[in-house]
Amino acid sequence: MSKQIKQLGDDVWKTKVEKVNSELFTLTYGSIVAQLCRDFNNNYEEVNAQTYKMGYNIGVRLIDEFLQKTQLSRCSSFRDTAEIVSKVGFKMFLNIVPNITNWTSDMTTFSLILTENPLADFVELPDDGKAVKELWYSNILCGVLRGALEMVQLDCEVGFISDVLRGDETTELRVRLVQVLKDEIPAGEE
Amino acid sequence: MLYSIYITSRSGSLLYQKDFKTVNSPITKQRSNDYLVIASTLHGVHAIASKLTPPDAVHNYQKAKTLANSNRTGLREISTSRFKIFMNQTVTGIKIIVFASPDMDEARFAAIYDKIYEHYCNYVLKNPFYQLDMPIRCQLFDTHLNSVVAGCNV
Amino acid sequence: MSKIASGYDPAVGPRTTGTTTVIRPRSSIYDRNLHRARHDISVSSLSFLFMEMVSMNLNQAKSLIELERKLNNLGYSIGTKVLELASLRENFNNNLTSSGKSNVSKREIKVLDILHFITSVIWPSLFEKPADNLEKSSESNCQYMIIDNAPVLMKYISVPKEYEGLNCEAFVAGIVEGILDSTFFKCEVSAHTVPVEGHLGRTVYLINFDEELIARETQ
Repeated sequence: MSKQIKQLGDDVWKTKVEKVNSELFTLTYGSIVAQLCRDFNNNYEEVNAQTYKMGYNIGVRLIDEFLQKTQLSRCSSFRDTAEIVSKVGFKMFLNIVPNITNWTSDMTTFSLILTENPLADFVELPDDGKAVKELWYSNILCGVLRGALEMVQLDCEVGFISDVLRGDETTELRVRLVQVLKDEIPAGEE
Repeated sequence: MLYSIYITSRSGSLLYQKDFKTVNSPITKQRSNDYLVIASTLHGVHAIASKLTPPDAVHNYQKAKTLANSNRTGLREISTSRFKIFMNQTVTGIKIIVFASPDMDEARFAAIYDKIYEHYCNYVLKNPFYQLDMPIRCQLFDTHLNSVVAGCNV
Repeated sequence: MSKIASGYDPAVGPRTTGTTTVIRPRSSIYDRNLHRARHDISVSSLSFLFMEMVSMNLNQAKSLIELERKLNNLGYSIGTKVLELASLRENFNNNLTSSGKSNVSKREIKVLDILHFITSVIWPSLFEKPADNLEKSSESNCQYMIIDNAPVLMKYISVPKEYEGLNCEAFVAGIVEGILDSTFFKCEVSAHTVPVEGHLGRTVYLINFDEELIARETQ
């Protein structure tokens, strides 16, 4: 299964995605975060909330392109969801494949380890001693995942627990399935 | 021949409706309120069809279907002597409904559906001026749907 | 407490006291190579980010003028960085191909040269294509125009009637302004949609240079 999923991600990336170098994307996101830091007077909690919200707004829209290009249907297990998020989702939008790891024994929570992160290229956090403790620079990704998964009725909590920008050894993002919103699945899609 | 395109939201409200100026189209112009009624009726019938499908039929149905892995058990087609109505639903619950001439088949509809869905993803969802679940008014989307219809009605 | 004797023990050799905390060096961007392999992503990711950036500022701005100014500012801060990156790479590449050249970084000092650099080097580095045209205004000595027939960021965006006159490409105008300002070509840049047959999204970036600057150049 995992192999087929990887193949699907690679195929979609190769044949259905129009590509652009990541530079403008990276710089644009950097400019947005810098603007938010100014607007919120370096209140990084607020900045995190704002980038998360931006991500959410993107996620609830981007999911349709994901489904249209992959022709995938509802996942049969959360394990598959994790594989698809990493090998197809991250692959087709950011051309990276995070490692899936640290599953809890009840299989409701996993981690994505980002060895590359196109959002954070050329980035250094503000040198105020506070940002390295409070700012989750790439928090927009959590919002995107949260929004996209919600549109396919997976109510999830998503958040970073470490980031190389803060001096951590890895960039790790945690995804926890809270519940499947069964009542909201559209008729005919069950 | 393609006569009309409807798009409805997950809750069945009408997001988009257009009757195309197709030669000899049997579709007559309705009052705007009637379009809303048509949309929500189709939405309802789709759901009823899904409810009526016996669980053990689902498996065979899945095998037979030609469309992308969606709309497993909902209504897919209505025929009259003058036209057909095709519909398919995205996994997210958006319905794309097409009114076409009786010679339209499901395979050709599948291709048209996919094109419309792609344009929706691009020209509606990537537009910062469009708010989700609101009626679609995007000029570029219109332009691209027109070319889908033109390509179909040659 | 451990019973390790203090002082140097020649039988053991140097050792740590055991209580020192390990200081993990923060990896710094300055340690990394600017000339690394390019990384491609989906155009969609860029489109969605731009969509949300415009949408967020649209909700916050009180007027369309304020919205354009915000977009312009966001672009401006990018422009100041882009030039340095692009010229570093450009010089690096030149030095690779023609080893005879000196390693001294070249800086454009003529208006036309820097504009040409923007349309032929910066544009491809950001948008994967050069700008379609560079023109000098026939009305004013201080005005130049960069023309893009199909701006990448506007590819999917239709501006509704109630926002007529708004140009989201103010963002790219800001980038151009940032580039020029950071090389001491003081100017203001604005974006205008000027459709022609076949290119409905055609955008003109109108550059208004400071009069003194033009005077300096014509001396």
